[in-house]
Amino acid sequence: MSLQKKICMLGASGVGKTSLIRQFVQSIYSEKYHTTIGVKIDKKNLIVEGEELTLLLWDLQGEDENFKIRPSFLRGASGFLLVVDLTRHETLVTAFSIQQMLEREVGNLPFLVLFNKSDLTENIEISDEEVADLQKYDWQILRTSAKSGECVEEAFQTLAKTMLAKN
Amino acid sequence: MPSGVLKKKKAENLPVNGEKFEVFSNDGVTFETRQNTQEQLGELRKIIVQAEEVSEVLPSALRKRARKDNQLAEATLPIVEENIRQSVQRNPKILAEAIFPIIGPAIRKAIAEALGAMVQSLNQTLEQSISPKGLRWRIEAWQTGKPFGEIVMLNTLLYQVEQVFLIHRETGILLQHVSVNSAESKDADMVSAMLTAIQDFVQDSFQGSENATLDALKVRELSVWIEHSPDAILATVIRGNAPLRLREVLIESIEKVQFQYENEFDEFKGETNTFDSSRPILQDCLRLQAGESAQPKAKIFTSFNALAGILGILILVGGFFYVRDYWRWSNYLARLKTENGIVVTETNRGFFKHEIEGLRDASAIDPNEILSVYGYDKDDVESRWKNYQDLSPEMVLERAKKVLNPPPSVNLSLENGVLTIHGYAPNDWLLEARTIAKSIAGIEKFKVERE
Repeated sequence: MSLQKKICMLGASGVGKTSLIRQFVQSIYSEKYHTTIGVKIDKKNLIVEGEELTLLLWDLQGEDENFKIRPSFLRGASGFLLVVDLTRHETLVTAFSIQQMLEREVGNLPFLVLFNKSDLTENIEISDEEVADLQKYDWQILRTSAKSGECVEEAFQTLAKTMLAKN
Repeated sequence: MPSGVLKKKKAENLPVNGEKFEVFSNDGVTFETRQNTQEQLGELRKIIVQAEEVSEVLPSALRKRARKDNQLAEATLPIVEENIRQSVQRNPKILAEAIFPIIGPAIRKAIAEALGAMVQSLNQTLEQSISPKGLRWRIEAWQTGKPFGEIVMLNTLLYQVEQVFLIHRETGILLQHVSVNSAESKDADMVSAMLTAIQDFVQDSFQGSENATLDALKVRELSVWIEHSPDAILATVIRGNAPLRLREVLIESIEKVQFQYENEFDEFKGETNTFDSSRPILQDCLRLQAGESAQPKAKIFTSFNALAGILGILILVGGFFYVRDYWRWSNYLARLKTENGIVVTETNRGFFKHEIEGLRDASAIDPNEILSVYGYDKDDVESRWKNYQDLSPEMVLERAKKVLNPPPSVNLSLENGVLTIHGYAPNDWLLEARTIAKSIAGIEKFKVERE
């Protein structure tokens, strides 16, 4: 067995977390686990800087007014993928609140913010300027598309590198 | 600055010869203030020196006082309680880890006692049970020196520990996995993470504290038993009904892992290779089933066993009939030997028909007549009897009675070849009897004794 890390995938409901990883990870559990126990476990094998790394991906149920993330699921995680839907501005607000919650619950751990659905160019609500403005918070940002696969592999690689650097 | 007020107040507190006074130095600080400061410094020095002195004597003083009475313990009790309370409140893990070596064995002991009591009560319940199976188990208990109840449990519980997961408690990362079938282990790391998630889910959903852990999952004949240590989770997948004693083994295993890898747990950052050497401990949990699964029981109804059973029954039935026939035939022959006028010369006890050959006096009993007394039909025995005359006094007398046909008033007796007539008899009969008697073998003389 190689090095293993637990990472959590978080974001508002419907931002495309599950779609984002569907074709890039190994999975044995169906999506009904989200609505039953609130999390689905997937696995992603990577080679980062010549080192084998297995990411155990805790795909958490999307947060909305009816459902709040269980802090116990975050315990022991080494990093986070925070997903925002470019076509819905309110998902950025949720991302902010989740990020604050993360700081409160688990402290300062590596995370990467993924602006998803970049292929839906006509419906985009979050402008490039707004995204660029977020650099002031020292957020690591990537634009992704579950549909085209844009930057999905890169997202895992980037987060993995950050985590290993912190190791 | 209201120094004047301060100075005045200090002056009031410093009486000299019963008079109040104020003295000013060149820099504006009153003399008395300097004096006070020096006095305070002196006090402080004294306190420091005293503290050092006290620290020297404190341990032995505490020891002496503790030996003397309980007051010291009583005085410190609330402090200690409060310390523990605060420690648990701040970080329960520290205290949990500290007392784990005490609690672990204590729990084990409690479980062992509970199990012992259960076995004992089972023992009493089964004490009266009499059945071939029970008898066999009793023999096994006697041979192995184990309590009867334990043998019953071992024979009635069939199980197999199929997989063992060693999971890092905080991250849910699979540290090690052993399985009876290595092909099943491909998704073990996802399974272990999911198990951890379910554990968290149960705790959150049912308002359990962090110590209220999920101990078992059950799906039909498959169970997952979960044991926890401060840093690890040991999950075992068991098929069938495992005895509760197995849990004790699992607890011992996880305790062993916890102690051996204390440092590795503290510094764990996802390197699972450091736990490779724990595999033998986990494999011990797998091996456990091989010794106790009572696998031979499952093969009781093989064709060989069935054939052997039928053969055994046939041998038993055949043996019964053989012994019964031997017994009957011996008794029949013994009876014939006691009979007068019968001499058995040859016998043959056949499988379907018996044969008997010999000599028979005409006055003797008919051997075929008494066959039924010994459970035989006439067809079961082929008899070949040749006539002969038995010259024993009893048979001669018997023959004489038959031939002479004496009237009821006459008694016959025989001694040394002399046939004596007692009683009253008509002359005609006497004359005839005298003539006939001489022709009867074994009678040499005829004598009449009248009364």
